[in-house]
Amino acid sequence: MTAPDLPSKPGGWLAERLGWASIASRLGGYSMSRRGFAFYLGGITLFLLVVQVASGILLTLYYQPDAAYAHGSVERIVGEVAYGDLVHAVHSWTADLFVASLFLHLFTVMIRRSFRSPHELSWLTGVALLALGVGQAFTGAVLPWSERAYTHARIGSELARYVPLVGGWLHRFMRGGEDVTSSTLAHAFGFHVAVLPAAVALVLSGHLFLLTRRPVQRPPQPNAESIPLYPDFFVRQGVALTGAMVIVLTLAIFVDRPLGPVADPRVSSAPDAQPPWYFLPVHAIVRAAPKELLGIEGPRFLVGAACVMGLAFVALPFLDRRGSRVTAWAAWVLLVTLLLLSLRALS
Amino acid sequence: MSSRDDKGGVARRNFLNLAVGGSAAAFAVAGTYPVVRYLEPPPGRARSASRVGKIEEFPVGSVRTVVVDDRPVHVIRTADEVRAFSAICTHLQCVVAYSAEHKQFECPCHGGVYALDGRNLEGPPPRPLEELTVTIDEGYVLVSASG
Amino acid sequence: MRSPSPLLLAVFAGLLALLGAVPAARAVVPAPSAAPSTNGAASVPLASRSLPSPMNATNTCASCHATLTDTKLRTPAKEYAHSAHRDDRIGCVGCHHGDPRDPTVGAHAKSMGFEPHPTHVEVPQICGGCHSDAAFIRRLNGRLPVGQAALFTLSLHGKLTAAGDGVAPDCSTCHGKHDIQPPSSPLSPVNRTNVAKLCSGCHADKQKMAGYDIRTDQFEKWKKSVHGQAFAAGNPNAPTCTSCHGAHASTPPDAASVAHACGRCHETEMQLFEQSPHSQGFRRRGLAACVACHSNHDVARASAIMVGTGPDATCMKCHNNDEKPRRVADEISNLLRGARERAADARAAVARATTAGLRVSGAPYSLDQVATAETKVRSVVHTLDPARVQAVVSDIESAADETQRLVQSAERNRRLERRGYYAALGLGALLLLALSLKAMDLDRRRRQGGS
Repeated sequence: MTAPDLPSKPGGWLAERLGWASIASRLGGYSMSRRGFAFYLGGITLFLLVVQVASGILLTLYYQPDAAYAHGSVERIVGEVAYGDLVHAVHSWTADLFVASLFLHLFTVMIRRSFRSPHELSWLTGVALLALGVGQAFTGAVLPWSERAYTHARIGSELARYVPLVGGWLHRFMRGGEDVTSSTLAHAFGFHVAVLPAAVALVLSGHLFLLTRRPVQRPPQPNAESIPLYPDFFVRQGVALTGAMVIVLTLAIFVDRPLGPVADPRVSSAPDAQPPWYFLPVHAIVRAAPKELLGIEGPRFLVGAACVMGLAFVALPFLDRRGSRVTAWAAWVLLVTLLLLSLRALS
Repeated sequence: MSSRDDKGGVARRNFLNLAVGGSAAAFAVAGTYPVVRYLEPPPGRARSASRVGKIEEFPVGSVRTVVVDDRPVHVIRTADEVRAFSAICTHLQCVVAYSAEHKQFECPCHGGVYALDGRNLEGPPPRPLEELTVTIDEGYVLVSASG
Repeated sequence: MRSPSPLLLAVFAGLLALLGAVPAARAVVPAPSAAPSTNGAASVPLASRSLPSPMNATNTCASCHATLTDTKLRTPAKEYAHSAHRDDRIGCVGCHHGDPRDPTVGAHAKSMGFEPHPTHVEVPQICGGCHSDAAFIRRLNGRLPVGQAALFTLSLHGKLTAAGDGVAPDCSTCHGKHDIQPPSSPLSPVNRTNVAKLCSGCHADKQKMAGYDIRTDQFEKWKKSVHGQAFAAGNPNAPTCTSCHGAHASTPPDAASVAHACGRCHETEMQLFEQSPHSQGFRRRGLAACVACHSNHDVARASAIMVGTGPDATCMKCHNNDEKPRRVADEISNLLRGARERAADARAAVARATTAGLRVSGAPYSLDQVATAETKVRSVVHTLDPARVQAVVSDIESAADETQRLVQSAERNRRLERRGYYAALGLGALLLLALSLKAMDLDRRRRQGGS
C-alpha cells in the first residue's frame, strides 16, 4: 500500500504529474507522536505567519505611511474599502495569536528540552524568529498612528535606550531620528513590510531546513502511540489549522478593535494607555520600578537584567546539563512570573 | 465478511475525502471572494466646486492651467466670459498643452489639436475636451469637478 | 593676493564717514538755529514743526526730572522713556513747551510757553497740533493716520470736551499721557483687546454717567452677548465697542443707521432685510432695523425659535394680534422646524454609522451641503418671504435625504457582509468537522491494520 489514501478520481491526473505517490510514501515514512498539542504549535505558528503575510500585503494597497495620512488611510480601509474591516481585523488579531503561538511554541520546546543536541541551531533560529516577531509586533502597532500607537512608539523606543552597549544606537534606530516624528512612522513602515519580513523569510527557511535535516524525535515515552507523518499527522495538523483559522475569523468578526483617535502630540499620553498584551509584563515592571536600584537608574537596571536573562535564554542549549530538570523548572517559573506580571499590569 | 467491511470502509473513505475536499474548496472560495472585492478600490468621493483663484488672476485673453481634484484644467477668460476645459485629451488621456503661438490646445502625445472652445480640430481625438462648469462667487473663480 | 571686493570697500568707506559725521553732529547741536518763531506762540505750539528742531535732541527735561525725588515729578520722565513719543525730536517740549536747552529752572519760563498742566480743552489742540499735520507726521512715522483730532471734534465726546464738560474724555483719557503706546500694542488701553474695559471704565460707572441721559449696562450686556462671548473665546473678528460705535468720531448709531453698523459684518442679512416688508415699515415707525428683533448690546445667538407665534418668538412683540403676519410667521417657523429636524436626523444617521465603525463615503460632503444651506436659510429668513425660505429649505432637505440614502446603503452593505461572514464561518466549521472525521477514520484503520 504505497499511497493508501489518494483521492483517486479528481486529483489523480495532477497527482500523477507531480509524482505525488513517491512524495507521499516518503512523508509516510516519518512517524510522529499521536498525542501532544506541542507538536502542532510550530505548524500553527507558520500558518498564522502566512495569514499575516497575506493580509499584510492586502493592507499595503490602501495604507499610506505618512503621519498626515496614515490614520485616515486606516480609517478608510476599515470604513470604506469593501471587506477592509475584515482584512484589518484579521491582520490585527492574527498578530496577537501569532506572538502567542510563538511564545507557546518556545515554552513547549523549553519544557520538553527539545533544544538539546543536535537541535541547537533550531533553537537559535527559533529565538531569532521570536525576536523578529516581537519586532514585527512593535513596528506594526506604530503604523495606525493613533494616540495609542504614538504613545507605544515613544515608550518602546525610550526603553530601548537602556539596552546595554547598543542602547543609544537602537533608540535612534527605532525612532528614525532623535524624536518620535513622521520619520518614525516611515522607518517603522519600512521595517514592518520589507526589512523584518525579509529577515523572517531568511531565518525561517533555515529553521525549516534544519527540521528536514534533523527531524524532531518522538518524546521518550515508551507507550506513546506513533502515527505516520502522512496522511495521519497531516490531517490532524489540518484540523488544528482550520481551528486556528476559525478562531481568527470569529475574533475578527465579533470582537471589535477600535482604531482610536489620531495621534496628536499636544494631547497628553492617555492614562489608560496599555501596551499590547505581550508587553504587559514590561509595563508592570516599568510602572513598579523604583528610581534607582543598586545605584543604577531603574529602567537601566531592569532592561539590563532582562538582557542578561535573554542571553541566558539564547544560550540555553549550551547551558543545559543532560538529566537535569532545571530548564523545565526555569521555564515554568518564567511563564508563571510573566503571567503574574501581566495580571499586575492589568489591575 | 471482511470484503463487505472493506467495501463499507472504501465508501466511507470516499465520502470523507469528498467532504474534506468539498468543504475545503467552499471555504477557500468564501475566503477568496472578500479578497477579490477588497482589491477593487472604493468609489471616489463626491466633490464640490474648487476655488482656483481670484478673478483678477485671470486677465482677459489669458489661459491658465490649474489643478482641480488632482486633475489639470485650462481656465480661459475671454472678453465676456470665463470657461474651463479639462486638460485631459479625449484620445488617450494625455495632458494637452496650451500653445500661445497657435492659440489652440495641442496634445504632445499623438498630435491632437483642439480649439480654444474645446472643439477637436485635428488628429485622433474623437470628442471635444470636457467642459467644466465655472462659477464666479464674490470675486473668486470656482471650477466644479465635473461638467 | 586678490584685491578687496568693492562691497567691502563701500562698507569700510561708510564706517569712516559715520565716524566723521558723529562729532560733526555733536558740534551742531549746541549751536542751534534758535528758531525764534517756535517760542511764545502758545495757542499754535511748534508752528515750525514741519521741520523737527534738532534743539530738542538734548532733552534736559527728562534727564533732570529722572533724578528728582518727588514721584509726581519723576514718574513722567520715566514713563516717557518707553512711550511711543520717546523720540528726542518730540521730547517733553513737544507738549509742555519751555526751553529744554536751559539746564536750570529757567527751562520752565512762562515766556517760552511752558505749560505744566494742559487743560481738558487744550489737550486735543496740543495732540492735534502734531497729529493733524500730515507733513510732520509723515516725516516721523509714515504709517500713522492723520485727522483724528478733526474726527474727535465731530464726536459727542469732542463736543462735550470743547464745551468744557469735565467728565467727557480728551485724547489722554483713552490713549494715556506720558506712557502713551501705539494702539497696536497690547499695553495700550485702546488696543482691541482692552478697549471694552476702557469704555466701560466710564460708561459702566453710574456716578460718572449720572449727568447724562445714558444707560450703564452696555458692557455687562455685551459680555453676555454672542459677540462678547466670541470675543472672550478669542475670535479675532468678534466685535467690541469701537467696531460699531467708531473710535474718534464715536457717535451712537440711531434707529435709521443701526442696520449699517450691523451690516458692516452681516452684509447679506442687511441686504435681504432691505428687501423685506419690514424695511419700509420699520422706517415709517422709526423702529431700529436689526435691534427691534435682535437687541443691540445683548444680542443673543440667533435661533429658529425667534420666528413663529410661540412665547419666545420675537414676531409676537409687535404682531400678536395681526392675522396675516401670524400666518407668515407660522409658515416660516414650520419650514425651519422641518428643515432642522431633517438635518438633525441626517447628522444622527451619520453619527450612528460612525459609531458602528462605518465610514460612509460621500456623507461628510452631503452634510457640508446641509450646513451650507442652513447658513443660507438663516440669512434668507430676513426677507420674511416664505417662498424664498422654502427654496433654501428644500436644498437642506434634499442634501439631508441624500445623506440618509448614503448611510442606509452603507448599512445595507454591512448587513449583507455580515451574512457572508456567518456563511464563511459555517463552511469553516464544516471543514473542521470533515477533517476530524477523517482523522478518526484514519486512526480506526491504522489500528485495524496494526492489529
